[in-house]
Amino acid sequence: MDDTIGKALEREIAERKLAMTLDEARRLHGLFGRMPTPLEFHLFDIMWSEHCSYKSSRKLLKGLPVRASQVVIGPGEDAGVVRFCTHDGVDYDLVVAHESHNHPSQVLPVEGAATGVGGIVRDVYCMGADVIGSLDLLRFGDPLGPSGERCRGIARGVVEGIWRYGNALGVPNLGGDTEFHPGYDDNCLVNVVALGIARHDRVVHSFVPPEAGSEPYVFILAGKPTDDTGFGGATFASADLDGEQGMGSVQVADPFLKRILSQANLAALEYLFGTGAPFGFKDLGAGGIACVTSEMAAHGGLGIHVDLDQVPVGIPGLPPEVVACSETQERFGFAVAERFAEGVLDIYNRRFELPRLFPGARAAVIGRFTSEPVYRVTCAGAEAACAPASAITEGVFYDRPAEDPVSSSTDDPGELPCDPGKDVPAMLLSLGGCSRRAVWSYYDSEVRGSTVLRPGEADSCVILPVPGCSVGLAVSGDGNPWYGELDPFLGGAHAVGEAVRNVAAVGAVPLCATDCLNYGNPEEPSVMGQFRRGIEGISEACRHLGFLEPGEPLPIVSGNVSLYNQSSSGGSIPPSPIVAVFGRLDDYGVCCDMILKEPGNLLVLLGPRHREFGGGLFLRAVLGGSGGRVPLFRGPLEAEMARWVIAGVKSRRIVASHDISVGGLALAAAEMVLSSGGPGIRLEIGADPVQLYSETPGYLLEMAPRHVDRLPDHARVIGEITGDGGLSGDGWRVDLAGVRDRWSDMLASVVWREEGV
Amino acid sequence: MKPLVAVVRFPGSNCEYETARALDACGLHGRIYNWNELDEASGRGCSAWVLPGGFSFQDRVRAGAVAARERIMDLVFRDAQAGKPVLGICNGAQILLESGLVPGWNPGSVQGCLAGNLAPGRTGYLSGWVFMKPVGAGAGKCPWLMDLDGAPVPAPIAHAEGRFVFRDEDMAGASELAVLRYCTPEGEEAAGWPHNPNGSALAAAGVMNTRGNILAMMPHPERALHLFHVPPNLPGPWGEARRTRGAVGTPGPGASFFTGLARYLEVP
Amino acid sequence: MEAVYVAVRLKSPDPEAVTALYTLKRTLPCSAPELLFRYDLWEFLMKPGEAGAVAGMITHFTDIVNPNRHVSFILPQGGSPPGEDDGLSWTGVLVWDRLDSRSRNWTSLLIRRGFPVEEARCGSLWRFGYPREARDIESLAMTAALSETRESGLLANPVSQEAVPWR
Repeated sequence: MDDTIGKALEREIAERKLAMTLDEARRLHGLFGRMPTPLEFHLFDIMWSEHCSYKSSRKLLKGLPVRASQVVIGPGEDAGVVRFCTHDGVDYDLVVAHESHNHPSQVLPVEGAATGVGGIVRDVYCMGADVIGSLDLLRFGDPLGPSGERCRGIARGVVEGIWRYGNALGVPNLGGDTEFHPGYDDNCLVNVVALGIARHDRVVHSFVPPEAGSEPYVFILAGKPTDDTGFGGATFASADLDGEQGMGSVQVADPFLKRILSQANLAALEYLFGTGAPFGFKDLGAGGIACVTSEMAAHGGLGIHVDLDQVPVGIPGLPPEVVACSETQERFGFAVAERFAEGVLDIYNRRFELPRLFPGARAAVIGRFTSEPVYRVTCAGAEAACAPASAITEGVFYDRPAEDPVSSSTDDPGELPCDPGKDVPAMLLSLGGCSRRAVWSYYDSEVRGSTVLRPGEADSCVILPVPGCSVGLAVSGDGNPWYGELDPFLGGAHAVGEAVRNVAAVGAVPLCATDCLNYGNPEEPSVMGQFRRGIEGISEACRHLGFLEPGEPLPIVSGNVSLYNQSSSGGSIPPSPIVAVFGRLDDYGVCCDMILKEPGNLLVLLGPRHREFGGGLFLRAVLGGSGGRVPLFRGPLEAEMARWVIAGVKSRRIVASHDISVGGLALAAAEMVLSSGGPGIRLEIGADPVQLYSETPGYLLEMAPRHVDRLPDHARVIGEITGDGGLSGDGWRVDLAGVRDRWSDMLASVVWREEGV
Repeated sequence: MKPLVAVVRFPGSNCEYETARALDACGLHGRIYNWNELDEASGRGCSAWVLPGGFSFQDRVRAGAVAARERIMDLVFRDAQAGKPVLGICNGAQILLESGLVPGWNPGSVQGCLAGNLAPGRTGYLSGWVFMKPVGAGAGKCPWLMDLDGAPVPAPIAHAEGRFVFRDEDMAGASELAVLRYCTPEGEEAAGWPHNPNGSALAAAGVMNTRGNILAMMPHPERALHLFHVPPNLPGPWGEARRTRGAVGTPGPGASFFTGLARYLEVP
Repeated sequence: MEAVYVAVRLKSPDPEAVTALYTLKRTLPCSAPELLFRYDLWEFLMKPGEAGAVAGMITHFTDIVNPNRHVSFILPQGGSPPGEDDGLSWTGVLVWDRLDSRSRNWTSLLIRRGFPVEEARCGSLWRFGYPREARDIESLAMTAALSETRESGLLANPVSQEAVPWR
């Protein structure tokens, strides 16, 4: 059979460096009934990429619990929206989004991490929200391992990208977490979460309103002039890392312009709400102008005619597919009634002076919505793309084979030595146990003037979303690669469990969660198996950890899937589901931190201890070994403990709290002492490794003696707060004063100063 | 009517909202003006100016240097020469130095700098809480410092360029104007890192002009406005208050900078 | 001791240079150049006979030169980086911080890691492109560079930095 079409398609794929397969190209050809134009090839290459279409993951994602009474908008739009609070008669919603920027950060750490922050805040801004916080969940390779040189450079670069971009934006950084694991040597993870607050009646949708069928509506592009940066970015995000490939794909972020745009956006939204005419608003991310215009039109059931000649460009002479698909940062798009377009343009171009502040930056009308549902792009009078609008958003799907992972969670390692005086310092001075202060010290956690608890003071950061309103917001993001590696299901379940504990520990009621599912190559059945189990773990935990309405889960309201996280040699990262949980405090004045308050108070342990050392810091940092059983996820117990802690904080019986996770009870107690800078802890526990180091989830709580008379079954007094700044137990004592400075400085010393490398 | 205090939003400022709220909370009326709202800002006639923190022009070329050349600074300059109180916080302080308003021996000439932090083994941005205290007789005539009682004041810093630098021959003069200095939680003048967090000359956290109406300070008083802002593990009486009274909205250590202005402007 | 100079520029347009040029054209139209470029300029004082080690050293740390992000050139003192527009006359001004922790920290890091360096120093090299007919471009560039008052030049604070012609 003469396959001239197949050959021609193959040639296009090679010449245009498309990521689509030949089968997908054939399908595209069939969709058009002709050879697609260059722009059409690139547009569909992006729309059908893993990053945009979720083609490998969509089927499994359906298992995640997404519905609950508080949810206003679940997964599907740029960000999730939940009911949050009412203040002065106005209802406010919380807007949350969670994404990865893993591949770009591995290649260009500073720009990759910066655009990661930039992209996620755009997702929240474009729902009409004011962004009130962000957090970064970072996974780096071993800075002391064989690829240490590169891992340290990447870690420094990522943190620099975050502070240079995020701090300038005026969005407080609410911490997040940082883990090191050799599985990330060739593929770091940079997950970013952003949260915002919007008036419930002013949440904006990202599609053209139906009114555009009866009166003229135009598309306004506002922001940086379009250039060739990030051309092919979405495709790049879905390819495996292979040396120098994809270099041109990382975008250049500009927080200065973003800050001005965010202020201009607020003014434009205010103006548009004032007109009473419905409108749509969306950020430009993957696929640039082509994706935003086609999605806005298609999701509104209309068509659009985009005139590329009207697009403000930074570089003359770019081919139409580059202008249409480049991922130039700092751009937003509006669908507005034509009669109000001038008013919007005026805000950007005159009031906020975009053209003066950044050469070529401005707002311009570049398209017109049409009732005929056709997506049409012209350039210099010629047609560059023409397709039924619905075809563009019709994705591709794969039902990829998945092989259940063999749990490598092994039997108990048997008799364990235990010398707390040595073990605890060894854990504190390991990469898994040392303070993350070196990272936070670069972050601005206090801009906006509404931060109540910063990183390192409590298990979650707490902020006040609405000025003058007493409702506080707590947020934490977690995911333990050492658990995921041994047991993908428990990796997912504990990511939710720990984030919930962290939020509950400050006294906040978990409202909703977001996830980012970071895995390897989905074409490998074993990786798809890990992915499936991870989702099952998250779902299981969410079903147990809903706290608002009886029978309802903790809903996942937004998220992202990042696949192909692997090196060119094929090694996949450990299964790395990362979950952020958002909680509400009715009164921020009664939130609880981890700082010890009063010598003479008692320390209460909540949660039984089991022999669960698998993936634990004790085996890693002290015994230099691995194996053991990963802690089981005990859903009903987790929920019951969280409820009790939230109630105890609210009634002010609990005055300090810290959850038990990495390093077990001993490390949790040591961290409380080290963060407090005065008081100490004396435990009534001997040198018992299960009691001290097992990572079975639980809480340590400081309570006054008069408040411990009615403890639940699984809680008991295990010690008291002392005035001596030390940590001791029956027959042992840890010299915390001797390790405090090194604990707090270790990360800076290894990663930034490269001492002892 | 409450005195109007103009808060200038330069392109890239990011602390304008909380700064205006801090003024409002202390008996004043803080109003944000865009860099290009010259007619509005001069038309109303404000009682004082605040240049808030942030990254005007992304700190390009040098923190504060480009913003110092914006036309709205002509208005600030004119009012400052007429004796109206002016406060620059963080990036605002950098703009005051680059404008030649502080130290202002010869107003308009650049006679000092807020240069890159100098800290052992570390480059770039640093955030964290520090202590400072008013030093010298000059502090008494500065409206922004009138309400400080001499005890160490904790507040957060968040900057990459906060090191005051003066020429050798100007150090004696600068010493009289460096009225706000980093100190230990107990109030001893900071001898070096970490109490002096950026290697600032004279351990200066804030420097005023010779007349005393203009203050350029690096710590952020608007982020220490309420007790809930104070970290629960901070040493000293403010940390103790946070631990015992909880995260409440009563005045924090930074409120005095704004109440001082209110008293100076005779707000009842 | 042997001084080796490395000029490093971003592959994408340098936003700092864009803002500087724009501001100079607006505030100092008489001294502003047609084009303005900025480079990180590293001065490495190498141990005798070790000048050749620089090339390997700078690519070792992606914070100094990340080939995905930067283009770098080893230059003789006063040398012109390649790629400047022939239609203009070019001159350079080097701006150093008198004291900066970036240079200090890199010096100690490089020495600690065993590179044959005595001292590393990092500044900014500004390259000014003036029309061919412009005269005394070196002094025009210095005027544009020195920030004696808020109405004068922009690129160097006279108190904390020194600006020297790059020649």
